[in-house]
Amino acid sequence: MALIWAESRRRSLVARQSIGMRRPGAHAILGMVIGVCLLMTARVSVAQEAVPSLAGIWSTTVTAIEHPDWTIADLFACNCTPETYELLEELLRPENDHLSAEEIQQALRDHNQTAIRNLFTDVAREYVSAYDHADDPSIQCEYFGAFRTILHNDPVRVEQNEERIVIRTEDMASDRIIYMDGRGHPDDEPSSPLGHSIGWYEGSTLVVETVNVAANVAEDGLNIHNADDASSIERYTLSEDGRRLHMQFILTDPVMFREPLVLERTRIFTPDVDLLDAPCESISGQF
Amino acid sequence: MLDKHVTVVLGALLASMPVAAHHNPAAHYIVDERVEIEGVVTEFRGVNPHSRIYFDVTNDQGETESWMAEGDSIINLRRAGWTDDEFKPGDRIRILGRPSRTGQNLIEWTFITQPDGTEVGGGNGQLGERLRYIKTRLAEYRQQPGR
Repeated sequence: MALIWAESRRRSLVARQSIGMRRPGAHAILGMVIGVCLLMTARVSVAQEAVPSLAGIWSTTVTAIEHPDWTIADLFACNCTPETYELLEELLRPENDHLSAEEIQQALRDHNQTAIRNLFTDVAREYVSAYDHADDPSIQCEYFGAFRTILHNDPVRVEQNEERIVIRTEDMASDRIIYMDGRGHPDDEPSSPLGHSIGWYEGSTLVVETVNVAANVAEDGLNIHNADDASSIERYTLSEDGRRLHMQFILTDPVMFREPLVLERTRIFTPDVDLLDAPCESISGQF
Repeated sequence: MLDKHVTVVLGALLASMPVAAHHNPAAHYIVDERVEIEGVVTEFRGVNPHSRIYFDVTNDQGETESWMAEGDSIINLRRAGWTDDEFKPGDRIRILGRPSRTGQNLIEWTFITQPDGTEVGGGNGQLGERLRYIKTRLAEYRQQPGR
C-alpha cells in the first residue's frame, strides 16, 4: 500500500512537470486566463506536493557501478567528508590528468581518513589503535547497528507513507523504521543498536533524527566507532529528476568526536534491482 | 606434481581501494600484499557475508594442503550474475588475492582464473573489476572536449 502511495506521488511529480511544459500559449484572452489558472493550479500543487517521493530501490556504486547515471565523480565517491569531495573535484581537473585511478583513490582515502581522525577525541584514538577488525561483531553474523546500516553499500528499499518510512535492507544491514507522524523520541529508553528515529520534511529534503544508539562499529572501512547514546541527523535530498538521492550524515558523539562528523554520499534510483537474501555463516578466520 | 603452488608478492596493487563490501579485510588478511595460488576446488559455498571456495593445493613437497578463499557475499555475486554452483569440485583455478595475516591457508580473492582461462572477479566488494571499470570511465571522461 505504501509503495502504491509513493508511486502515485512519483507519477504526480511527472504530471506536474508535464503541466509546466504544456502551459497554453497567448492565443486569446480566454486562453490566457485558462493558462494562468492552470499555472496557479500547478504552483499550488507543487506547494502541496513538496514531499519528495523516495519510495523504491536505491543503490550505490558498489552494487550498480555500471549504471549510466553515475558521473565520474560518483565513481570515486565514498562515505566522504565534504572536504574530501572538494579534493575529488580538484583531482578530476585537467591539470591532474597525469594521476591514475589508483592514485586518485589513494589520495581520497588518505584525505578522508585524515579528515575523520582529526575529529577524534583522545578516547577514540585510543580505542581505534587497540581495535582489531577481527573483533567485528558482524563477522559472527550480528546485524549492523543504525550508523553502519546508514553508511552501508548495499541497496535499500524505501517504503514511504504519511506515518512512517521503512528502509528495508539486505545481508547484515538492519531494517529501520522512521516515524513521520510527529511523535518525539521516547523518554528514558535504553540505548539500542538501531536507536529511535523520527523524521520530517524540510522542503524537498527528508530529515531523519536518530538518538539512543548503542556503542557499535559505525563504519568498519573507515574504522569509525560510536559510543553509547550517540545520535545522528540524515538529510536526504532528491534530485529534480527524482533519480539521485544525496545523503548528508551527521554523527554527534562527544565521546568519540570533538565535533559532529559529516559524511556524504549519493545513491541512484534502480527500480530494476531487487533486495536479495541468503543465510549468514560466521567468519572465523579459520576453516 | 599436479598443482603448482606459486606465491607472488605483487606489492600494494589495489591496496588503495576505499570501500569494502561488508568487512574490513584487515580482520583476517594482509591488505597490502597479494599472492597467487593454484588449486583444485573441493567446494563452493555461496553464503553471506562472504562466499567461500575450499580447494586443495599441492605444495612444493608434493603434499596436499587444504585452503579456503573468501570473496564477496553471495547476494552481490548473484547480482553480478554468479550462480550457486559457479565453481564445481574438480575445477582447477588460479587465485590472486590477499594472504592470511596469521599465516593460515586462507586467501581473500580478487581475481580467479577459471579452467578455460577466463578471469572472473567477485572478490570482497568486487574491487578488482570495479577499478578496471573506473579506469575505463576515467579515460573516457578525460577525452571529453571542453570539460
